[in-house]
Amino acid sequence: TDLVQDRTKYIKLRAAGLYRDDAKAAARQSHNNAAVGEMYKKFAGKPLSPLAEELFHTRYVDRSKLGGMRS
Amino acid sequence: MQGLRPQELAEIIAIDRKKCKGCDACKAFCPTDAVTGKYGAVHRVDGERCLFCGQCLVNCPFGAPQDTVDIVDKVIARLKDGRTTVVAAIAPAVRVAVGEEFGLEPGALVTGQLLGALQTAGFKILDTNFAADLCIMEEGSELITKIRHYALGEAAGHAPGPLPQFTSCCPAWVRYAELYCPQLLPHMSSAKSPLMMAGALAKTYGATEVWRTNPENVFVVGVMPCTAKKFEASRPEFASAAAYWHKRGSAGSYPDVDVVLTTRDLARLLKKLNINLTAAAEFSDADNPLARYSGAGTIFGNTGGVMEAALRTAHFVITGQELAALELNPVRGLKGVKAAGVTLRDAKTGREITVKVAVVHGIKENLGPIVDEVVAGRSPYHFIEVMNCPGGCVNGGGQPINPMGTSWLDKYKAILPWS
Repeated sequence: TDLVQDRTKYIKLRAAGLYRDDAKAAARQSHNNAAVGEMYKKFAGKPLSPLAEELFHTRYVDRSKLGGMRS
Repeated sequence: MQGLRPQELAEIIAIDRKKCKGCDACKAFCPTDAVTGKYGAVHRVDGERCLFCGQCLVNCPFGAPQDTVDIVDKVIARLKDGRTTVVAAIAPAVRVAVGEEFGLEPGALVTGQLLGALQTAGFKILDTNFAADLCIMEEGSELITKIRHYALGEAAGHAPGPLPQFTSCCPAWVRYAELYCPQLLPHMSSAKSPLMMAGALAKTYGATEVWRTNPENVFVVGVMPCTAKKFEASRPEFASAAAYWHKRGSAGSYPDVDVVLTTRDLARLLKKLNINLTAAAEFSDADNPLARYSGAGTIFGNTGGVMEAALRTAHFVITGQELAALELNPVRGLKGVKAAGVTLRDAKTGREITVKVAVVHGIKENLGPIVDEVVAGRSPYHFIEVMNCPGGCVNGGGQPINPMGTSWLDKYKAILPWS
């Protein structure tokens, strides 16, 4: 019935929407996004530069070792 | 409570006792068995185990699980205070789903109206798709460094992290790895997620170069298809902009991303402000570089999208040439685990390498064997994308819930996309 629809249909329709957005984009590769290139030139230098590491990279936490800090 | 640090949100998803029928549908979607309670009895969510992914919430036939973090009115207050530069960072998957809240078909691509409606509401725009492109530059460069070192024999200053490299965009996957497979953490890309990059960038480069305002007046609102992003934004390490300014003599203390609205929250916000998305003026801020994005940035919202975007750039960086066919069909679609190999000739050395990649979506059903291979040291892959939600962010726990879109009357197992 109409009441029992397949959630997969929604996933597929939304995914197709993003692939349409990609297909119509003027630039289709991240390295061809000129605004990103401009940001590196004016500000962060280049990927993995010290400033890029400081602002765009992170570390992870071994949560299996975190004790009961809140309780 | 175990597994959480003091500043972090401890509860995002909670089950409404009055609505829960104890039907167990949520348990079929929970990646970590965080839902407890016997069949027929009211269920509850164990916050220590929960990834905050919201899959129980979008799949419950009775609407019992609730997102308990409601900051819509707080955001409206900041929009109206006249002092704050409120920046919306909009994830890829929001633009193909928010229309559903305004009567449009699922998958309707409404970027122009969405950004226009946000502008009408008073937001400045930093498209998270821009940050996704930035993420590819960082995460891709990290991967290429590892491939050059381990597979092409190029000397590195210090040994980079081990291969395979895992993606780190999905906050539920990151929390899963931190809680349940900490031995994988050295394999995680050190790149922040696009939203966390967006926050750090908005309060540095955005404040000084684009909006020309004091970074402390910038209030970053993530607009996300995801409930786990609310948790991610509360992680204490994501205060890089404040640390940056601290080194330069400012004492302020603030997070990179102040709050996160889900797609559902955003629709409520717009409705409270009487803004109709479908009638919104098209976005006009053509001189804002932070609103520009590539096709690679936008497909981040689909399973396989990060991988496809990364390979387009890795191909160019390693071979010196653009990929001839940009659509990487082996990593598209809803198969639970997708694998592909792309052979590249290194422009520097002339050596050939076949970069092997895998894409996993749906941690619950599909992650185990991939992780076991990595832990045993016999994974054939160089790069592995993991997204917690089946289908990727388009099916995230913060997306619109169509009450007809899911059912427990049907065989609920059958609505997992790979079955």
